[in-house]
Amino acid sequence: MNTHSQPLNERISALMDGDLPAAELDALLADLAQQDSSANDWHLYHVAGDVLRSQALAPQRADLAFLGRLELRLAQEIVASPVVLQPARELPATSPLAHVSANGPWRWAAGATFTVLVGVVSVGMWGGAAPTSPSQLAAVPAPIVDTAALQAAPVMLRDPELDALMAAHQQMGGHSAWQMPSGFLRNATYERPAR
Amino acid sequence: MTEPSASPNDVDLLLVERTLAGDQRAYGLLVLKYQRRIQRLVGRMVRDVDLVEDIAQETFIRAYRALHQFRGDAQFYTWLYRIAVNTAKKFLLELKRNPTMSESFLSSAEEDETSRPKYEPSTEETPESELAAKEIAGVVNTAMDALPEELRQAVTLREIEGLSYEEIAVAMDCPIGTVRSRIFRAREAISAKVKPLLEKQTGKRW
Repeated sequence: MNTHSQPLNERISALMDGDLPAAELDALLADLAQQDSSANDWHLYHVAGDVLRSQALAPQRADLAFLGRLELRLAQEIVASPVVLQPARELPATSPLAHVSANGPWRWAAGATFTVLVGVVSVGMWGGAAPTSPSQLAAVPAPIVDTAALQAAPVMLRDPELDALMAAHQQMGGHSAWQMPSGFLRNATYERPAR
Repeated sequence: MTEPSASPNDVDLLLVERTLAGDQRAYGLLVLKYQRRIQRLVGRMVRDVDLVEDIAQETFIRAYRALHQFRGDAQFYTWLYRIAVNTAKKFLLELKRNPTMSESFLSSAEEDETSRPKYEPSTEETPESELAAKEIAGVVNTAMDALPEELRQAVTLREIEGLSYEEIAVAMDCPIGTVRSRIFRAREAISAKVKPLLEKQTGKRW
């Protein structure tokens, strides 16, 4: 049966019960993922069903607030676990997923968190990680610096791990979120000539 | 000829696959579907309301991390259930190890969201959230009572008895399309009554 002519929320109801033709499933799930009103219907129907089965399943706290907090934590999770988040796959522009990913609710949170992370890492690596004790000073061998070479062609120090992290989060964070700090970081990496 | 339909389990699996493909909101739909059952389950093992929420959050975080391991062999809720129980046990173990934490956080170690707690909060301790939940349950029941008989029967057979549309059609002696329509109308009627309460909950600061 073709249910395309039915209202969207009636198809959501049928979907919940496993009565939606498989051929229509993908399109409806895309609608669900993109439209807040559809997701709201999904939520309300499930609450009604849960409460009918057991009154103890009535939401005690705001389900959507729970989801909001979870989304924030997951955004941090994505930033903190570059192993899990592989370098983002480029979705075809025509894919509905491309639109959802680009406009997803975690995009800006993830981008902001990533910016903070890069800032913290940069402070540790370039910003003033001064040794805190004489023993540390003694333990670190003095670097041999070819000052003539540095003056001729300044070399930017790169951390492969940080590069990999940035590459992995290039799509998630967005260029605009970290282009300015990265410009600053490059300037801060030049070695001074020895006095 | 009847077109093949996706079972509710297929829907869960598809939402998992969409999440893995980068559609984070698909995971949100799974959370909206299962969070109450998970919170209820955890609430049977832990008394503290805030801790229940923390453990439920941690459950969904862990499930998200392990999502690529879910193959659809078992039901998604069964898989999620084990993660929730293990997460709660880990929290409880840490609580017991930490002498500064009160045992008042702990409840029985029963792993069933339908079992009764050994600890019952007193009237003074009853949180506002419990009253809100009771209010929602009351509104759902009232809305059910107000439904026309054929809608109430259809949604009861589906949501409480768990019958398929085909079985309900036989039981009610009507076409499947009518069953689908009746269940949808029943859900709409109940949702219309519940929606303001949920919006009120969302607007509150807990």
